[in-house]
Amino acid sequence: MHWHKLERILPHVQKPARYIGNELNTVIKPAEQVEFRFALAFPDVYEIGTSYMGFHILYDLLNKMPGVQAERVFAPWPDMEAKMRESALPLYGLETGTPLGDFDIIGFTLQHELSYTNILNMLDLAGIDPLAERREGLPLVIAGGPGAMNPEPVADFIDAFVIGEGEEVVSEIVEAVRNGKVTGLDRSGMLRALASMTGIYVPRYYERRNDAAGRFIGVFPVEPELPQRIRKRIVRDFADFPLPEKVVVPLVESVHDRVSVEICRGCARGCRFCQAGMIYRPVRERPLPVLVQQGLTLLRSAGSPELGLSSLSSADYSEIEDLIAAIQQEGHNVSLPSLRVDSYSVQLAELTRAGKKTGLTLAPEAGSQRLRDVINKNVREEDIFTAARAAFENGWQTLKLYFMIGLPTETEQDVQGIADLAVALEDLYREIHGHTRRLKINLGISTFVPKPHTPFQWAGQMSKEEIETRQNLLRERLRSKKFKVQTGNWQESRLEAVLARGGRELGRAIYLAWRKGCKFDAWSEHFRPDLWAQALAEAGVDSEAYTGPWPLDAVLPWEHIDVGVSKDFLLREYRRALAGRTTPDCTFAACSACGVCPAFAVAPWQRRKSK
Amino acid sequence: MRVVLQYTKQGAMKYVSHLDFQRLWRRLFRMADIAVANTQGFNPLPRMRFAAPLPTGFASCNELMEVFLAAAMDLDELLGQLNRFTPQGMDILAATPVPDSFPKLTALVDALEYSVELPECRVLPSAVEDCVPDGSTAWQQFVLAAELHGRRWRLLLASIEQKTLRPDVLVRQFFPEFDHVAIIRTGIFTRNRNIKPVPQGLSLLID
Repeated sequence: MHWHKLERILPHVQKPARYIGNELNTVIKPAEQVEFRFALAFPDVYEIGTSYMGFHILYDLLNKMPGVQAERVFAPWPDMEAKMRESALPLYGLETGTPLGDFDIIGFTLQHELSYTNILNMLDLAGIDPLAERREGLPLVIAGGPGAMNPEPVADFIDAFVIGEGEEVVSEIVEAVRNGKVTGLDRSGMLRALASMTGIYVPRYYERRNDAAGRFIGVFPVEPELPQRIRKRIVRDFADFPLPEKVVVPLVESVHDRVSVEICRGCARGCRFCQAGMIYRPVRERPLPVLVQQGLTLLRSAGSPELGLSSLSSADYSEIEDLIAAIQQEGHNVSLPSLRVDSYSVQLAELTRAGKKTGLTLAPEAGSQRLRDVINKNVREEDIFTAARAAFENGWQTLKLYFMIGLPTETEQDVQGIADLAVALEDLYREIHGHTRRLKINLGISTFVPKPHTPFQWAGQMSKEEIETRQNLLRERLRSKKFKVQTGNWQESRLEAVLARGGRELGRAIYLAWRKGCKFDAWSEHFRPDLWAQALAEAGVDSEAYTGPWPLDAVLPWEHIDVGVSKDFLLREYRRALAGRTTPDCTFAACSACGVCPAFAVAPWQRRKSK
Repeated sequence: MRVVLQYTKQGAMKYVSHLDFQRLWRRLFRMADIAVANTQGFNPLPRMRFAAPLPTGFASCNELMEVFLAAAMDLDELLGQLNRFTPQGMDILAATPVPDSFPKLTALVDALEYSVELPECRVLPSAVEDCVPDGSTAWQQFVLAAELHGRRWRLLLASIEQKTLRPDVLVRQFFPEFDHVAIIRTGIFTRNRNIKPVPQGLSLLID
């Protein structure tokens, strides 16, 4: 039935192979052995979602559980969605074609605030009411990922949130729900059972409260036994936690033709705008022999030419050079997705270049030393130049530079600094080569978005006028063909801030925006700021209240979510930022007392080798 | 070692584009740990060639590709190794070793045969009968045979200097009332009678 309907649709959609499943290394269990179905739902298009490592790990763990079938599902592109609605084909798991409504759990990952409307749309496409309170029975809709660190804006749509790392808790959730099915627990019984587990937030058992003056005072449990704050989960033994031996390999070309291993988790560099750098602490590494063995196994089982060594700062891995050498020795390419701005990182990039002509990516983030100190991007002007010199002397022709504008305390002078830097790098290239014929400097200019659980969570965004003035200033100054300036859409950044910093009151606006047709908001061709403005207005949400600066004593909508990093630390860091004072990486220098190590009773991580 | 492989691309696999399918082949060889010789040049790629690209959405029970293995190996083992990894709908049926002097596979293809499954029985419009084997219009020169047997329409379409006619063009022209028609490529033909050996899956075209 499913395939019959699909066969009529697929000839009429773009990239039909997104929707067929049948990829290499998929796990399909005989139907009679399956007693529990878990859908791993990625609220964006197939090519983006298939490379997401978190789902590779969960897919493997779930499918190793007897009786459990994990399947993947992605957001259908609008052409496919239209055809599915036309022919009443409900959204389905790619492995067996089972409609999502027949699953026991649907687990979304919240990678990006601008994917929230896609969650509602995917549920609706499956015939499931997007509003949690109107749902009955199974499936339960759960969500995890960085977005869950402020769950409130999507709390109306999600039954339970996983706060923190999912590797261990996912099987606990499956067991709880599976037992609930056996013992005849109803939906609320199952959710109550989940609510008592560490690291699970069930919004229906928590309510927002205001004081007598109507001011928000926080989110509180409605039952006294439930924890006041939900502490994030971390894997007990990250270094030795078993890793997948194979991952699903897409049939449609994805962003990168590579498999990846996570070499370390967490980052203590302490960039003050960076949410990942705060919420994934503490820093932990996997041992070299484990990574070499798993890397080679994955390369073989995926038939991939390239291994990605993934982490928030790959050059910080203690034995990075030995690791690269060990993989290359077996005849494979290596890629390092996130490098620091220094000459050591350029050396590493040089090691892994393997004849490719791709550009070198550096992210100084701010154009002046003053502002780099404010954001704690511990990169000095001379680091940038030594890195660029090393790159140019080694024959790199294309430099990709990432910057942010609209940062706290930023002035136009700081933004001029970005242009000055780009021009100075052009001069440096000319000094080395005598010309700039083959040089290209691409500048990716994004707009600062304040994110929960970061030192900049209190900071405001700049106005539309200020952002556009700064964007224009850069475009004007860097008109030469040597430079390519790419700027983000300010409206998207504003919406991102609203959705990132919102409370439960945002649910109504998200719902209305979806009803008006918003989806794929991160895709400029689908983003509809006009519809979003209507939805926010109808929901009575004043965007300015979320994009502006917040007082330091404000009660934050995510106060009940405990990521281990203390609010005191974040506040201290914010104050240091405003004073232009930096804080060094604790894995190389003194402890900065962020609170994570005592929170999880782990010993502070110290680098074995310092580079 | 140069080898011609005969394989199928059916079921869900028919929706995989030619480019993605080429990538899949490279992957399969790596998964099976069979080294393929690389092309020369600035951006070396595993040396393989496909007889005739199959448009996305068409199935085939008879595709051909050639590959240059880095080292000689037993062909049964080659088939066994590769078939361990092929996704459902893709089977590698036969491997024929050919000498290095063998013509390029792409240059050998003179005609492609398709079977079109119509949803209902039809009588072939006389226009098609008339046009065979007349070559007076742009598309007619490609139609070598067009026989309708009940619901099954056999088309033999010429491939002239690697240009050919898509069978769905003829379906739209003569049976515009059907919006869903299954098309399967069933054969690859050559006029060249001097090749030795004749790879399995390549048929001789007798005019």
